[in-house]
This record gives sequence, structure tokens and C-alpha cells, in this order.
Amino acid sequence: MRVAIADDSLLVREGLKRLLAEANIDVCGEAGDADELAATVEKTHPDVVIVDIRMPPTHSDEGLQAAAEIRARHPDIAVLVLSQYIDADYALKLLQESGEASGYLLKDRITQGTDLLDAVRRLAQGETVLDPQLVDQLLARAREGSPIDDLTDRERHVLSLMAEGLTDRGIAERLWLSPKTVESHIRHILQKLGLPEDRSRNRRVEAVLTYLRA
Amino acid sequence: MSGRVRLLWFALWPVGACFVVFGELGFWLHGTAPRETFPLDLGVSSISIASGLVLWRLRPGNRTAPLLVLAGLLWTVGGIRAYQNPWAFGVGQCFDGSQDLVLAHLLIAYPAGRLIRRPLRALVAAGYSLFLVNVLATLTLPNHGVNAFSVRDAPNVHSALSTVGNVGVVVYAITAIAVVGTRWAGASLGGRRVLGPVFAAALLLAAADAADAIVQALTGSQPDIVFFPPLVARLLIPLAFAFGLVRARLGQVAVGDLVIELDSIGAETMEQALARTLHDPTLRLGFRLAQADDFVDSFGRPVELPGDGDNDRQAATFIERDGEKLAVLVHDRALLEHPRLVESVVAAARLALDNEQLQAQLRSQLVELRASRARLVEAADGERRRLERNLHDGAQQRLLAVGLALNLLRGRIANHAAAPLLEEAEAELAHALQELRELARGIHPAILTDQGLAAAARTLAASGAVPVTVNANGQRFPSAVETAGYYLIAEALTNISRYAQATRAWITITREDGLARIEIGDDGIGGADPGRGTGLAGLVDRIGALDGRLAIDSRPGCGTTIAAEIPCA
Repeated sequence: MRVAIADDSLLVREGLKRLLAEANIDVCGEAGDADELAATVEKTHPDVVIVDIRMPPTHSDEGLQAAAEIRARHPDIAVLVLSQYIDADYALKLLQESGEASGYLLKDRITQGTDLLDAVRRLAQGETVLDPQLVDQLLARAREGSPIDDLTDRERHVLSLMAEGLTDRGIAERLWLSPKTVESHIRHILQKLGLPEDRSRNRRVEAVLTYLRA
Repeated sequence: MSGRVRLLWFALWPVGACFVVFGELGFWLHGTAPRETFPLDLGVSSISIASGLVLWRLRPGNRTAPLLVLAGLLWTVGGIRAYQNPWAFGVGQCFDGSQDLVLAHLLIAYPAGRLIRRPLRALVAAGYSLFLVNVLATLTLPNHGVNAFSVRDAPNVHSALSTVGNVGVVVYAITAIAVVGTRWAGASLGGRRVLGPVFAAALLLAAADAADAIVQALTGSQPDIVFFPPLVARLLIPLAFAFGLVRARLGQVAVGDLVIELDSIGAETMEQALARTLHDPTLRLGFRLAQADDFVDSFGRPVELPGDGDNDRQAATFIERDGEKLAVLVHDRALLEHPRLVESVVAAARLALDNEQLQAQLRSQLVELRASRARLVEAADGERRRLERNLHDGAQQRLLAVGLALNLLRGRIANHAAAPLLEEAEAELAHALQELRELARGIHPAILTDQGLAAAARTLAASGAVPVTVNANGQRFPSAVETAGYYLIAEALTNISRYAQATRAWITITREDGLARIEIGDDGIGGADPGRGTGLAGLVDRIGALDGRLAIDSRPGCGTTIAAEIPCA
């Protein structure tokens, strides 16, 4: 697997490179800003791009825009956006603009075990990745009397994993359940929340996210 | 009116009455004029004295009043000639016509009542010398048992003196009328209002006397009819003096209206109001330029100050406060003869100018204050942004790098004895990163700059304990407005989760008529005290700095609604 990294902090870039190399992931290019990243992507055509949301020149959401551009030009390249702050708006924007094979993680994850590597691998498979902390936050404030209250604990758990972008199989593995059980949980959840049963995972994530954020 | 003058004033009423009774009685009993003229004669003396005394009370500083009283008294003295007593005749003869000299004096000194210019003083002195001529003529009048004052029978001398006296009176009268006529011609509208009645009455008297003289010269006799016009004119003269002066005084009543009027008008109409009150359409109001001696009108045009010379028709009166010139009134010189009126108007104008100046100062200070508040808030926000950037680019990235290193280390010492220590270090680091993130977000939320107020509001809503609905489209506002709105929402949500006991809350962000309207409501217990804590008070300052308003509605049991309106053109 080949990965390109974009972050304006040299320290972080070096650390990421070592972390990925150690996991036998080939870091084929690195960049300090969005323009450099675009050039690197054109030159090396990586499988996954890891990009910090905040980069020069304005240090706002260059990373999101770069992700959307890369996804538009190269639908086969997955993008993982790292952010110092967790925010549903950023996540939704990313899902809407970059579609599937895009991920949004709290930047702290790079220091936590295999979180980053798992995310990169899932993205390489074309999955969607959303930070669990974002999902927890959204679930925690679901309003009283909302249909979410009708969900069983198991169903809630499944729902949050859905929102994180996990596939049915991923959820099954994570929860030690059979895929069939997961499927039936998911059907129940979508029915209870009144959400359409969409085959596309990304759409499913977006729908759940929109539902939770409302 | 001082005590002594007041005593004199009271005494003059009975004294005047005695003079009138004695003088007019002689005229009634033995006078040569037709009896039908008696009421007129009585009117001349009594009205002259009475109007003079009344005027004296109304215009204590004006010498016209005592002179009028004197003229009336002298008129009655002329009448005692008729008592067929040599002494009475002598006295009466001496004073015969003397009231006309006083009238001429009055005319020349009018309206100020005093002779300011030297040539006029000489003229009046010359006029009074005619009295001496009359006395001399009386002394040389043949006795024949009627004139106790006769010292020498000298018909030629007497006739010569009489001629000198008569010609002198005619010349004096013409000169006096010319003086008043010149003054009238040169006067402003306001001056003419005061001079007009007197000038007219004087002309009438001159014409009547002239007619009398012409008729006598032509016919050699005095028909009854010629007695009337001069008496009517003499009757009108004291009234004209009194009327003119009272009218001038009435101008001061208008000052009261002026004060009220000035209170509500601007500098431009102030000049018109002053001109109207002083009856001087040529009046100009000049405002002093700061730190300069030049004056400009309300349009900024320079106002020329007139010279000090008597020949200049304009005069300048300064409006001062604490010895400092605020403004200048350039007005008709004739107004200087009404110092009290001008003083009152100046006082009224000073009030208005003070007011105007205070308001202007206050306005400029407010504008300055608002600007400086906005600058302070702007500077503080800029500093916050810079701090947050520094934290993000510096400490946060370094801690992340440390975390990455620890993460790598973990793979290498998986089964090492130090593994628990590493885990501890990682946990501490995660906490540090979390705390640093919260600190940075509190200093300045990055999402606010990147995504705007609506997105930032959703983020705040997401982190709260109470479910919050956000009604907002993604429109952007000026950064200062978004920042103020953000802190307002943050503070309100904090209060909601701490005190409100609410089950739900909502945030509405809209833009209407150039106003950003941010409303945060909840269904809690209400009764929030805006004075409690510094959170909301600081927000009132921040929103005030943007010229915005904050309204808090928190009746007990009705939830709390906090609404801010901030201009954002």
C-alpha cells in the first residue's frame, strides 16, 4: 500500500512516516501544503492520502478542499483528513464533497496504537471512516423522546459503528456477532429511525450523521 | 431702582399732581387760548408726567423717563403766567417754552436717554442756553405792574433777545429733527421700530408749529384752529417716547421665547432666531474656530468683525464663557442702545451654544468611545487568534510528535517491563492533548473562522448536555459579529446546562435589515439574573462595542431567551 502525507509540521510528518514504515506501508510522498500535495499526488498516485485539515496559507480548512479535489480527480485514491478539533460540520462537508473512501479522524489518533493504521487500511478498502468521538458526541445529545431512545443497547452500539463507517462485516467482527445478526440489527435500527435502507455505505453514514446532528 | 430714586419716584406723583393742578388752573381761569383746548393742555402735562413716571419704573436705567417728567412739569410752569400775579408771571415767562428744549434734548438723546457723542452734547448744551436767552428777555420785559422780574425797561433789547430766542428755537428744533431723522435713516428695522413713533411725533409737532407760525405771519392773528395741532402733537410726544421704549423692552420678553426656540434648533436657524428676536435682519452669528481668533458661520464662511468706530453701522458683541469667546454676534450698532436686550439674547445664545457644544463634544466622545471599544475588542480577538495559532502550530504538533514516538516505542517494548510506564505516559499525553485542544478552542474556535457562526454554533450545541436545535443557514457575518455571537452562544449554553434545568434549547441565527439576530432560548426554570457573574456582562460590552443590543427575557417558569442584535451592513 502506498500513502502520501500532507502536514505543515515537519515533526508530525516524520513521525507519521516512521509509524507507517514500521507497519510496512510505503510512504511514497509528503507535502507541507495543499499545492505541494496536489503535485505529489499527480506524480506518485498513492492509494491513500493522509492530510491535515489545517495547512498554509490560511490555516483553515485547506485539507478538506484538497481532499475534495483529489477525490474528484482520482476517485480511486482514498483520503483521510486529520483534524485537531472534532466537528460534525467538517465531517458532513467531507462526506458530501469527497464521497466514499474518505475519512475524518481526530489528529490525536495518530498517537494511539493502531487507530490510524486501521483507518488507512479501511480507507484503502473503499470504506468510510468517521472518528468514534464524533459519533459518541452526536449520540450523547440525541434529544429526549427521540426514536433513538427506543433502540436497545446493542442496537445503539451497532448504530455508532455504522456512523463510524464500518461495514456490516466490520461491525460483526468488532462485536463478535454473526453478519446475519448484524444485518437484522441494522434493519431494525433503520426502521426505528425511519431512515431508508440504502445499499451504499457512504450514503448510510451520511444519513445517520445527518439524523444525529439534526 | 435704588432706594433714594424710588423715594423720589413716589414723591414725584403728588408733586406732579400739584404742578398740573396749579398750572392748569391758571390756564383755565385766565388763559388766552380757547377754552376748548383745555383738555388737550391738561393732557399734555399730565400724560407727560404720568407716562414719564411709568416709563421710569419700567426702564429705570433710561434717562428718557426723568426728562419726560421734567418736560411735563415745565409745561405746567408756563401756565402759571395766567395768575395775574407779577411773580407768577415772571416765573412763567422765564420757563415759557423751556419744555420744548427738554423735548429736543429727549429727541436727540433718544433712545438711549444719554448723549454719548460729544457734538450732540454740545448741541444740547447750546439748546439749553436758549433758556438763558428767555430769562434775559424776561428781565428786559417792561414791567407795567405785571412782571415782577423786570429789571430794566429796554424794549429794543427785549425784542432783540426775543428774536434771538425764537430763531434759536426754530434752528434747534430743525437740528434736533435732523439728528433723529439721520439716525432713523441709518437704523436697522429694529432700530426704526423704536425710533419711528418718536420721529413721527416730532415731525408732526414741527409741522404744527410751523403751520402756526405761517398762519400768524400771514394773517397777523391766531385763529382758534391753530391752537389744536401743536397741542395734539405735544400730547403724542410723551406717548411716542414711552411707546417706543416699552416696545424695545418687549423685545426682552421675546428672549424668553428665544430660549425655548434655541433649545431645539441647529446652528443655522439659530442665527435666524437671533435676528428675529433682535429685529435685525443683518445680524450674523459667527462661531469661533478652535484655537483661532477667526469666526465662521454655520456654513463655514468667514464672518467679518466690524471696526470699533462710531461710523461703522455694525457692531460686534461676543458670546463668552469664562472669558473665552465662544461666538460673535455682528449686529446693527443701534442695538448697543439696548444693552439689556442684547445681554439677554447673548445669555440665551450662550445657553444654547453651551448646550450645542456639550452635545457635540459628547457626540464626538461617544463616537470615539465606540470606536475605541471596537478597536479593543478587535485587538483582543486578533490576539486570541494569534495565540490559538501558536498553540496549534507549536505545542500541539510537538505533543503529537511525542505521541507518535511513544506509539512507535510501544511496538518495540511490547513485552518489556517498561510497557506499563509507556502506557501511563501515553494516557497522560492524551490528556494533555485533550486539555490543550479545549484551551485552544476556548481561546479562539478554529471552526468559527473556517466555517462560520452556524457551524460553530452546532459544535457548541453538540458538546452541551441539553439537546439543542440550531436554526441557521450557513451565511457568514463580519468576523467581529461572528466572534461576539459565538461567545454569546457559548455563555448562554453554559448557563443553560448549569442553571436552567432545561430539557431542550434552541439557537436561531438570522439576518434581517442589516442586523444579525442571534437568539438562544431554553424551556428551563427562567429567572436568570443578567447581573450574576461576569459572563453576560462581558458579552454586553462586547456586543455594545459593535453597536449591538442584548435583550434577556427570563421570567421565572418561562424559560430564558437571550437575543442579540448586531448591525452588520
